[in-house]
Amino acid sequence: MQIDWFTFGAQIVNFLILVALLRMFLYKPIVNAMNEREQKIASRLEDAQRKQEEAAAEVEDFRSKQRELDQQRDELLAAARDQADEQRQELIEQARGDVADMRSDWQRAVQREKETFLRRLRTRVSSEVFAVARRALWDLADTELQEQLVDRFAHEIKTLDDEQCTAMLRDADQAIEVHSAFGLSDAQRERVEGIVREQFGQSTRLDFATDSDLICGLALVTGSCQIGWNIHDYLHTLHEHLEAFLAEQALSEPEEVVGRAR
Amino acid sequence: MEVDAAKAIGAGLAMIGVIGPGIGIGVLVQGALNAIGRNPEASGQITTNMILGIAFAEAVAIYALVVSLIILFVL
Amino acid sequence: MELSPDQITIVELGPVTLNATLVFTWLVMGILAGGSWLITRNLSTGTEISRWQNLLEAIVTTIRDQIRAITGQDPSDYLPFIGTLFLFISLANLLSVVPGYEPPTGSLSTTAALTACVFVAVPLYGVAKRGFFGYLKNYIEPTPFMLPFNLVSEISRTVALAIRLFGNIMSGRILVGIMLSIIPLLLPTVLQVLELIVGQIQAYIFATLATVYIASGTSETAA
Repeated sequence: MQIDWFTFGAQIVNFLILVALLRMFLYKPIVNAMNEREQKIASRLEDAQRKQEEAAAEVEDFRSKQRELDQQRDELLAAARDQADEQRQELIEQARGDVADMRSDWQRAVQREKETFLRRLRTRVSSEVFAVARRALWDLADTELQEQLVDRFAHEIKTLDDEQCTAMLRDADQAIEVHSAFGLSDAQRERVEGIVREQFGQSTRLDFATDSDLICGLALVTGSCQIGWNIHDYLHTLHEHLEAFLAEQALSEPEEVVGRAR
Repeated sequence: MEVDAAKAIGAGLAMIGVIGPGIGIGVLVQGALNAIGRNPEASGQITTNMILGIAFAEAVAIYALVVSLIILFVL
Repeated sequence: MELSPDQITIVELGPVTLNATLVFTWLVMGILAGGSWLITRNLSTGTEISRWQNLLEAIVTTIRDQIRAITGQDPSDYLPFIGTLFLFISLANLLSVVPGYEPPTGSLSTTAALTACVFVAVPLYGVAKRGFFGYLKNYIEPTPFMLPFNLVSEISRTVALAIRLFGNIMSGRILVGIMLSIIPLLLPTVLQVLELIVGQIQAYIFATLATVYIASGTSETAA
């Protein structure tokens, strides 16, 4: 059980040699290899990290581009929509204008038609009334009527106010014409002359003329004024009233028609 | 002849020293098993430390054995 | 029956007697050095590595981790010494399954030589790490009165280290021998397996204790 001192020494030497051998063949290369691999792995990881970051950056870039595109598209769409709205508005305006034009055309046509109708009616009514009155008066007109007419005329002249007289006289530098429906008898002429001269002065010259348009009655005509009493005036007044009434009717009528058309 | 008898007696007496490590190993294993029962997750580390402790305790028994063997064969 | 392989003579070369301890030590050394040379001849640093390289890397990494866990320092300086201690004892014990092989660790000369190396390495590492006086301060801590106790503990723990390894291996050998003479069937095999385990544990303990001793010599706070 004693220690063999030769073996003891030899074992120490052996052990030291083994330490040196293993250090040379085992620990150094293995540790170096592991460190190298660790470095490689670290660099690879770093690489991967960098690549990932690059990819992330690219993704971000791409996304922003896409967002930009989306925005552009939205803008374009909005612009197109606006334009379309505008166009539609224009079209509607145009259509409204057209409608308004058509309406006004139509109204004008209606107006024209009405006017034509009225004119014709007026003419017709006047002519009918004229005709009726004329016939009636023709039937009635005789010297006695003539007498009465002259009386009436005299009354008219006498009741002229001053304004009418001066307006009459301003134009009376020429002769005053006395129109009558029938030829006046001499006595009647004298009477008329007398009345007129009494009213306007003795120097007044009178021309007598026959005008069957008056139907019956008498009229004093200077350049622009006409004074007298005759059926024509009455008929003329009737005519005017009738026209006024028809015009009033015509004003309210087109609105109703247009309302129904819409 | 008497010397051989004395050697045998001496070797036997030397092995009395094994009692201590035996008790020690028992206590050690008991403690380790208790610990594993309380914390099974640490069983690996506890087992390793237990074996280490057993080895240390057993070394004392080995000393006794070595002494006993030396008495028997070398002296 | 020989208690120690020192007493088995293999070759006699004049005055020098080569006993079994030396021969088998050389065998173990040859296997270790040759094997690592063969494997590390072409190491790959990529991700594809051979299984032998993988084995060596695992062993080296484990030893480094253990050293780091015990000392709390960078294992690079201690790796060759501690690693070689462990690998040598481990392989020497492991080879005892081979018939005719006598483990060199079963010889007190070998274990004494190894512990002598540890005994010298502790102050060497301590001085290298902390300086000459820094290391000597270890012996008068916590008080100068502890100096004799520290010295005794230094020697006794070294002796205990040698005897522990030697006794375990030798007793295992003798136990198997005794069992073979009593019950030659089966039981010796089971004991052999037990001795293999014990051998590995002893290798681990030896390396760990050496590390602890070195760590206590190198670290400031060690008792």
